[in-house]
Amino acid sequence: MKLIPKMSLRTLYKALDMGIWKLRYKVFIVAIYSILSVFLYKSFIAIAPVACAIAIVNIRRYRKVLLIAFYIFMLSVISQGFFYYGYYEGQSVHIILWILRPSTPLLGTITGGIALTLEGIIHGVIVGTKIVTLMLLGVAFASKTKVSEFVPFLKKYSHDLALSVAIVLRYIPIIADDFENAYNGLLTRGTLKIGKFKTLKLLFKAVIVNLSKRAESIAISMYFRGHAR
Amino acid sequence: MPWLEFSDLKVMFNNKAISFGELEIDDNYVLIHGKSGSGKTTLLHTILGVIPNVRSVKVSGRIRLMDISSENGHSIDSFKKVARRSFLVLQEVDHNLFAKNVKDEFMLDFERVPMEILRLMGIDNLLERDINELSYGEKQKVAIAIALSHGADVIFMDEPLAHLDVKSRSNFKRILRKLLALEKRIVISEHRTHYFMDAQMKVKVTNQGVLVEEPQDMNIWSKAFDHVEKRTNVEKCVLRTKDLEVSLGTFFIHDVNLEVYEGEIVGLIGANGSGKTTLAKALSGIIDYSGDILLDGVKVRRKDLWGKVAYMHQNPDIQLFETSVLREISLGAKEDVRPYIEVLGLKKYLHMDPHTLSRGERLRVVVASILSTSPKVVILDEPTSGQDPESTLRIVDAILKFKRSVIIISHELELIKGICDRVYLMKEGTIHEIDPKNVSENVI
Repeated sequence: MKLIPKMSLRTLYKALDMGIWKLRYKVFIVAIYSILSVFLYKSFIAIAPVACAIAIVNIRRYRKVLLIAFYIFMLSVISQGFFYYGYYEGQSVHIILWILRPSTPLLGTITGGIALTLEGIIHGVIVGTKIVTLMLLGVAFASKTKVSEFVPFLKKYSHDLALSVAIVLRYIPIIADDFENAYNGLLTRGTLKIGKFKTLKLLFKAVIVNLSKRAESIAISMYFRGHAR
Repeated sequence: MPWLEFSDLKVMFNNKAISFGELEIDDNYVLIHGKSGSGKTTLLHTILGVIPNVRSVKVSGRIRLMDISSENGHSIDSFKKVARRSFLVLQEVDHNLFAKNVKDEFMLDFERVPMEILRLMGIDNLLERDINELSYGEKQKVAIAIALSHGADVIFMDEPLAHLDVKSRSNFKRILRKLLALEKRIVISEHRTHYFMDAQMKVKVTNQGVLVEEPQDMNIWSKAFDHVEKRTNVEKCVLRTKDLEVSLGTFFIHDVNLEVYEGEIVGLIGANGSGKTTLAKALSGIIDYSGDILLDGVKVRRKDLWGKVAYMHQNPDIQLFETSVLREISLGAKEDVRPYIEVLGLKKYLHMDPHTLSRGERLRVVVASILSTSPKVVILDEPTSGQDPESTLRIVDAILKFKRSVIIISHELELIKGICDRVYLMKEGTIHEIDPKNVSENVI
């Protein structure tokens, strides 16, 4: 008798595809992982691979995202490894490498010494795993959730939140577009030789004035579309 | 009894005051016309309470809109009441929209997407499209569809035709008739007055106040360009493309073979979303392309086009960088800027911040700034939007006087017929040259 049903890789891949999940399941899994990341410590590492597997299935350019995740993870390990809070609180730690001994005149006395500790590395791995897991889940969620699906969902719970999310989602590409258009405006007028600082100043002026005008127009529009109370 | 009336209405900005005087409106279909910068938008904003509630400008006088009365401008409460019963479609089309895609735009306001209105506007195919990817004309249709979906008693529209192609304009007129049959009240502020000659009341905004007055000429656009002489003996080709292709996401332009001769004015027409702006951006080296672009007969790289083929964006605000008009025009200027200031009628604004000017005036500042950098070819993307015929003529005069090679992208077919030596039609992702005499609504 087979206790475990036969599951091919393809079936597993399909099961992990957030694109076919209902929105509430997607929100549920992101929420559960967020809560567990607060309450679990070492045991979070045991559940992290599931989230990472979901992320790899759902993120289209997963290699690029994984590379960024790796950098973040390493940053966490290195920063925690060298600046572990337990060391400064006087806990007993295993020193792997001294960078600056506490006995070093001036700098050592001021900083209390800097050392790479085993406990710091472990803490960095745990913190890094939490950050990376939540980041990957977030990216996977964003990749496989249409805004048109998400906004009505938010609207059910909070109209203001839905509106804010909708505006933010539109504003991010608008800011990028405005910068690009303003830059192109200078480019096409052949005025980019005026120096980097002046170019930046001009770009910022054009973009900020345009964005403030847009903000005013959005405020007007919100009143007429019944969103301002 | 009039549904809208105001008396002694005056709006005081920091540097100027506009006095609108008094007016009573009891007709359902009203056209507001007047020169660029005369205060049409300010009047609409004041009547509706946008001024002084969102734009903090001082107002004096009495206003009554339906049963909502106010003294010295609407208070925030009466503005909210006005906003519940009326709708304003803003002049800056994309400022009307604040969601990521078309579906969200409707889902924010309604429980379901009003497909019948989308079909009426001919935009049901845009439902899943990202707002940022739409052309200005498509955005304008979405904004109008939202206004119609709200079912307000009064709809105010500021330059609703500015970015619409000719077919969409005819469609818009049909929609207006339907709305009027439903006893809606429509107030339209437009420069293209000949489209609205059937309006029951025509109000002209002038420096002396508002006057109930017919527009001077039914179709000034067609007569305005009678004096323009076409250039026939053009020889030197300044810009040529060979099998140009541009790919932008799912949008694709192919087999573009275009020629622009020295001192020639070339028109580029086509329906909303047909790819005119995308082509213009490729020609000016802003976006990547494949195929060849030749300047003065020499094949050039994309970078070499910068500064030689200048592109004027549809949104003038994003091309205004300096703190005064004079500094703006002088930025990157390679020659004396005075002739440009003179011809484009910008003398009195020289020390003003360009952002405080009307849309039409801002466009003229951008045109002057671009022309003064002495590019070989200038691409003007919808230079007539928000412009009265007089301002348009100033731009045309500047183009003709300084003998620049120009590509004009416009939905103003009379302008294209009147001043262009040759015309290209953008259709189905490619261009076809057509005789300027044959330019009409039917070919688009």
